[in-house]
Amino acid sequence: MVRVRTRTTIHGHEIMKGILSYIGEVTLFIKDFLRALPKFYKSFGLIAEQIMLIGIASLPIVLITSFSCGAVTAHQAMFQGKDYMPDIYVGMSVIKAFMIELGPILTALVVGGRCGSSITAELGSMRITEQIDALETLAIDPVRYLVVPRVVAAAIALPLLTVVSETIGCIGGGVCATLIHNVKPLIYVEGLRFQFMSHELWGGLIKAFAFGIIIGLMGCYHGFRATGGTEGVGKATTQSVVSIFILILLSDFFIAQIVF
Amino acid sequence: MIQIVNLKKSFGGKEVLRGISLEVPDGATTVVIGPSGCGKTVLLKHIVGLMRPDEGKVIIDELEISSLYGASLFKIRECISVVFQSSALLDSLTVGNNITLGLREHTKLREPELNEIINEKLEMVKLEGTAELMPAELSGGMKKRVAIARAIATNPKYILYDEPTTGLDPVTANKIDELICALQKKLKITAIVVTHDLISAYKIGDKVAMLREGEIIFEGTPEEIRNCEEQKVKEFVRGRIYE
Repeated sequence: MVRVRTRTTIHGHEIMKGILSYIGEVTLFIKDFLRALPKFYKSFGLIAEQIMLIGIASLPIVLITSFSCGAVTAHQAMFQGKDYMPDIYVGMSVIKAFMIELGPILTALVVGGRCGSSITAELGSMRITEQIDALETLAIDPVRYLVVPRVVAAAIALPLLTVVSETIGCIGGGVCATLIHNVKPLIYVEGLRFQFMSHELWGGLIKAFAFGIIIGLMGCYHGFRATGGTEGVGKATTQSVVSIFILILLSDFFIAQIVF
Repeated sequence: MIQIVNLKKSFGGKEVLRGISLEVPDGATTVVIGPSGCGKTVLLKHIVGLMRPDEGKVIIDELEISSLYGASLFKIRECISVVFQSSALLDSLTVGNNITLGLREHTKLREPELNEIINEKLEMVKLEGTAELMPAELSGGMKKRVAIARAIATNPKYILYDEPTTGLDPVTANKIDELICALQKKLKITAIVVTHDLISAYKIGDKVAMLREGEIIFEGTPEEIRNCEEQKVKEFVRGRIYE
């Protein structure tokens, strides 16, 4: 009995130690990032390149997921409110769901999975092949050269992709509502405008901005800390995606509390 | 001048460097030899400030690099270049951009001047016409040459070579040795070469230091180490175990 309790205590202690050391390391990494951030103007070219990689290259998958999600939202709204909900509420349901929640979170999870992992894999490979050490020996701050462009690009790209996602989501919802549920197009469009509140749009974009920072920072952090060859890069990539998803979902709740 | 004073470093309780002291004379090539895993690369990383010692110090031009951080550390690194064992060329940049990476960051040189430097350095390492290639398109020996071209592009006072001939065939390894010697004669740069390749060490070294089990057990000229009768040195130099 005593033995079991001791083991549990040691195990719990080690887990706590691991969590605290992880938080500490991430905090120090954020400190390094903030120290290098004022010199972002030196990396305009790299930022533009990363916006292309994170933003433009993610467009197809964001378009597909947003369109189908918009269609499902409209279908569910019609299904749940069948017989008693006026058709004008379908458009309203779709746009509110997308502006407040679906647009930012869907985009962040899709881009987080796609780009967070690729950032970690790229920087992790650079770490194990001494390319990051090479930058340091060339007197180039690797955080300024590699991390700042990726985080700034993700923070710019995410709100833009979210706007695209919201637009395509509304189109998907419209296609479903008008073609499958016979809602008149004008009524659907009127529903999109009905009860429109601009702070819901801005709130969603603030979320997207925060998610962009999370994706950039966590992707880079795990890449920078990769050790142990190609296997280590694989592990870092998995950890990166998991931590990005958890942080996005947690921060979504807290930002919603503040903004709405 | 580079001075290493009583340098100690442990990893997880394992002592890798056990109080190393070494002086690197200016304008000459000092070769640090020793078996694999004896701490040669760890020593090199301390010299350039990529690792911090547990005890002891590394002094470069009267500045203690082991106590420098941030901008002051980057400042002193501007006079040091490193040729890594894996070449460590940035995969995403062309050969030309790899060579001028440091110059683009620290100087305001324009594109024509940078192109002139690329051509000059590539000519020095006998790789003319490769400026537009990507690192993935190069062989191991070519990558090493580009890494050397990148190292000399900033006109450093010191160059550190980490196993420059490891993984290369004898002919290519010989060409790299000749290149290091030629650059040494031409540019008069102080060089530290870490290697376990004795043929290379004899050819390029003005001074040889042998590292074993975290300690310097021999310092002298290539001729002196060849004739050394100390058992541990003899074992490594002649490649057999003496009972």
